Amino acid sequence: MEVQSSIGLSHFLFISVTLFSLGLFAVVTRKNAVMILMGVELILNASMINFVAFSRFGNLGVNGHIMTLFVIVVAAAEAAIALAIVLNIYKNFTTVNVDEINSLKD
Amino acid sequence: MSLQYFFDNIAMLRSELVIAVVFTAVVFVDLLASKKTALKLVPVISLVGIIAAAIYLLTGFYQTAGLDSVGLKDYLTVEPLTNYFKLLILFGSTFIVVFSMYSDEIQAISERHGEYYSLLLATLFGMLLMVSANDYIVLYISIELVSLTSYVLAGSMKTDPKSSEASLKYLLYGASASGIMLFGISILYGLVGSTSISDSYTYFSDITKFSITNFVVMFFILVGIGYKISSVPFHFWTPDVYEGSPTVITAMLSVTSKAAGFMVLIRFIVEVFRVDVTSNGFWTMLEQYRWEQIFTVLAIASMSIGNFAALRQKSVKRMLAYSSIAHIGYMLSAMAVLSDSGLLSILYYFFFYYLMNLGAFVAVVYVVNKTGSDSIESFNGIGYKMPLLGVALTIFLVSLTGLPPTAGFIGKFYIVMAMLEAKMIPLTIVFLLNSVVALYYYIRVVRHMFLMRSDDSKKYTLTVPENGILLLFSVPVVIFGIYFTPIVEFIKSTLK
Amino acid sequence: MQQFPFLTLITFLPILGMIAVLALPNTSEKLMKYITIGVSAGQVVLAGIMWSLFNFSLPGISNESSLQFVEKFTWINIQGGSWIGTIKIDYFLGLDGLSMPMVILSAIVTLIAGISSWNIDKSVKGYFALFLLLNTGMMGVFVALDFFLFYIFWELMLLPMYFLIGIWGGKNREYAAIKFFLYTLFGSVFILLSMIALYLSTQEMYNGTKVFTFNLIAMANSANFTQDGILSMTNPSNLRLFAFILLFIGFAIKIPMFPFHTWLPDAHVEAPTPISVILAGVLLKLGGYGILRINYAIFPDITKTVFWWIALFGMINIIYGAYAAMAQKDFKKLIAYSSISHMGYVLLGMAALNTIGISGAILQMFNHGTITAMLFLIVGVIYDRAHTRGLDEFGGLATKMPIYTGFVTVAFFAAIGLPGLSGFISESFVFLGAFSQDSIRIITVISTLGILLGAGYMLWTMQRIYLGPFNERWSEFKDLDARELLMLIPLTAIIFILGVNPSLLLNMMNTSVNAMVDLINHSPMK
Repeated sequence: MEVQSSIGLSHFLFISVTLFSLGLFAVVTRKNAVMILMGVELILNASMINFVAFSRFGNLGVNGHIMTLFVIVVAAAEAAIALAIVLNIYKNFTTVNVDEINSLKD
Repeated sequence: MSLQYFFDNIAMLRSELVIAVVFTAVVFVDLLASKKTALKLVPVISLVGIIAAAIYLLTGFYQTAGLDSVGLKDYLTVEPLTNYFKLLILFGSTFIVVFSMYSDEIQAISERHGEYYSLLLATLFGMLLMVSANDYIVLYISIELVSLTSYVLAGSMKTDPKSSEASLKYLLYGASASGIMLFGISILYGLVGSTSISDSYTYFSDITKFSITNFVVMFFILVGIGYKISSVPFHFWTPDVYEGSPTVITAMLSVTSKAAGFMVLIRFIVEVFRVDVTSNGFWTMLEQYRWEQIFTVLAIASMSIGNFAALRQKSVKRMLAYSSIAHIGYMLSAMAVLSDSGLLSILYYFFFYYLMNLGAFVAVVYVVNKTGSDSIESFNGIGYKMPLLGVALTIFLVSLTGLPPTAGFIGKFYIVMAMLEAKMIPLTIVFLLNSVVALYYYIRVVRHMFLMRSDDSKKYTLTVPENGILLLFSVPVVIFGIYFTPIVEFIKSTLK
Repeated sequence: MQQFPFLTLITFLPILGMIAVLALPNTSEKLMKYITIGVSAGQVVLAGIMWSLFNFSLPGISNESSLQFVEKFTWINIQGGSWIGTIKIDYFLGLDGLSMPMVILSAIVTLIAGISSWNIDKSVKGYFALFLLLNTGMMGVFVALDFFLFYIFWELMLLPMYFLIGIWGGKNREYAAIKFFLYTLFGSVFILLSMIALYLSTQEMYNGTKVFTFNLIAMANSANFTQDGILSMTNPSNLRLFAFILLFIGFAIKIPMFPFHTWLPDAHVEAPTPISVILAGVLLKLGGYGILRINYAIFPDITKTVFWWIALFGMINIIYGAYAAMAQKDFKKLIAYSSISHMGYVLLGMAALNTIGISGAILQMFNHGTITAMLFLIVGVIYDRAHTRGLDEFGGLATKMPIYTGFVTVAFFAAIGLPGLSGFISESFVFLGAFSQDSIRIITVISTLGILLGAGYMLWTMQRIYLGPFNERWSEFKDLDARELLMLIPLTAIIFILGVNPSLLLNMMNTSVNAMVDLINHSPMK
């Protein structure tokens, strides 16, 4: 019980906000498509932590947990599709740097 | 709480059920039947299935009872308004399947037809769910279902660098936007204590809980919705994805998924921020969240940026991409009115937008089939080579501009009327001046078709069904421009 | 009493013609031309019959029961059992003294333009189909009395006109066509805005309840405005002045009024001769007609406040158009600028706000329609032969083409305003009317300078092209052929007849103009 009282909701929220910020930072600054997708994964993880933490500390029932499970599944599906697309990009462009993939322009 | 009760409720999701069955059927046929039969069967099954879903939906169109069994309470809403949007989406999807059958780009990937059509149906299923979603879980899952399948569809010509680039860009923007939206939802869950969209109203309407966090959450969710309807400033993916994707998928992204996204926006605003409706149809909103100003800004930005960027495009698909941003701007300006007549005008506009935009896209599909390019130069002299296509595309473009006597004018007419009812004169003027700007780039295509001659003397002919599809869209565009009573009466009936 | 639907027939006859033209095979070009001319001739006959049946003593304007040839049916009526305001649009056609002259003008000018289209040889089917569609649009605007219907006809003209200039025009046709289209659309979105604002402010009785209406005649009666509509006089914060200005800009672009005139010279120079004839003969009149029918009749109180400005812009048009015409080297551009100058008289006459002035303005519209149509035909005659229109490239054509030069002289003198020809009557009415309106007297006096300038550039042109030493380059020129005579003789006849007997038209419009002046005089001062 001691451990529980010392680690509260705010700790979880702090981690999730940190993860979100790191993820957003990666999305905005990285040029490598895979790195951007990793940033997205961080954002998803941040949300999952939020859901579980709120659900646990707010006594909000199971909705948060269910949401987390769904998000895990979606994230996995997204990763599979994303990697397939990135692989295809590599075949066509021999690079995964988003700055060099610019055949579509105004 | 018997099982029977659960089944009774789930039966109200008429179109979703049919589409789920059709989706499974397509997957199985593709796996089990021989390559040749599958190639023939799959598009037909999809087409028949979607039409069946639409008919089944129509049989219970006016059912309003909410879903209230233990499994579905508060998660999904079924009402005439959502049914109208579902009908629109099914209508659009029917023709997306038909266009696919006539598009050389899609016919060239016939070895992957099973995947292509099953993904189309999965996207459709996701959009139908999106329209009904009344819970953030359902909303997020359905948005992701639509997005994930659309990423793949955008890249379905996988050996074409442009198509795969479109797919990657769509993926990067889409994943980020929905991730941000999910984070917003997670915070909202903590604040409200529930994932139901309607429950958020209690939280947002509590003036003591008004804080900057609420705006952050609101903004995060708006990122997700804004990306779906490609409103400025969440539109950056649109031109690239539209240009690179197969033309049929571009059509799908610009009509069906827009409708689904817009219904989510309407639901979010109506459920969370609307206090009441006055007797003359104006909405009383939670004033502190300033939706009127937000929508006005978004509308003006979308209209102006969309229209001005469209002016200098060389690719017709890219031009239509920017123009679709502008059209979303038009609808957002009707949203800014925040009244029932504003909402109705959006519903009218969507129907007319479907007709004219699908028509324009099918004409572009034909031109791409014949010339192999969608650059504006490839339209030179098309009006003389394929007169019917030239006339039909002119009708669609004139309608997109909003000139009478076409359906597009009626759409704009109702939006202007809603705005003037609310005495929003500056926004109306911006709206109308934008139509003048739009004329310039739409008429540019007409100019290339009729005023310029092409260098070669190739003869192009369209088959009878291909011409039939053009007539199927162009004739109603003109007829609804002159006599629109039935369609307006019908749409009006969906709003209680 | 169900009477014969003259107006529907005269408006939609061209649509029937268009369908026939489209149904014909590409090879039967002659037949298409006959159909087009036949349709226009039919319209002239119909207009003539209506003229003979027209009752000169009924005013119209703001009194629905005194309109003539009325056809009124409910077209769109959405009641829908909902709480949102219903929408009701009527198919409402009718004539009064304001529109009757315009219908006659439109029918005559279109017939002449149809004959002048005879030697079109590029995409004949498309040309005549669009020509007929344009014809419906023009006729429709003059006879429609429901604002929505009016607007649809108004916009219906744009696309055919764009194609007619853009495909069959001169070297710079694409630029001219899109410029025309953008300018006009720019104006018409303002008309749309005011139209809906007016709709939301006026109500009329329908089935015992008050419903919003697009009825232009009902709008002209201030009693039909709602208490708190955006454009109701009873609403202290109404936007009537704003709506008036928007509508005025929309119509002024068509007139075209300085500074919205720049599309006109381009469009005229690039358009083929028959289209120039229609443009000058009918399309410019739509602007003037719109101002009278909508701005004047629906906003008489504002008209009373701003007429000084209308006169001022009229004066600018007269003087500026005349000076610009003088500077031109291209015959057609000169005529285009002279059109601007002549349409200035229309604005000046309207601004007089009295019977003489407004009658003069309408008469001037009619006369300008016939005279300028003739001038463009005259330009067309030499352009067909020489394929150039430079004013300095000709000389002494009078010796080579005496009959032609005879017609030229009539047209030029009519444009200058020589007594005995139609231009004189309308210009003197305009000046008489404007002079008797105290506050614009100075403007009127300055405007008379326009007559002097007009005589200057017209006579100078006369001298450069038709008099002086003959330019041997054109020695193979032939005089007018039968078709050209067929176009020029009727117009010349009209010019002479109206010059001697203007009461043919004046009687027709007199009652209506009086009603309009009454409306303006009795409206409350702002």
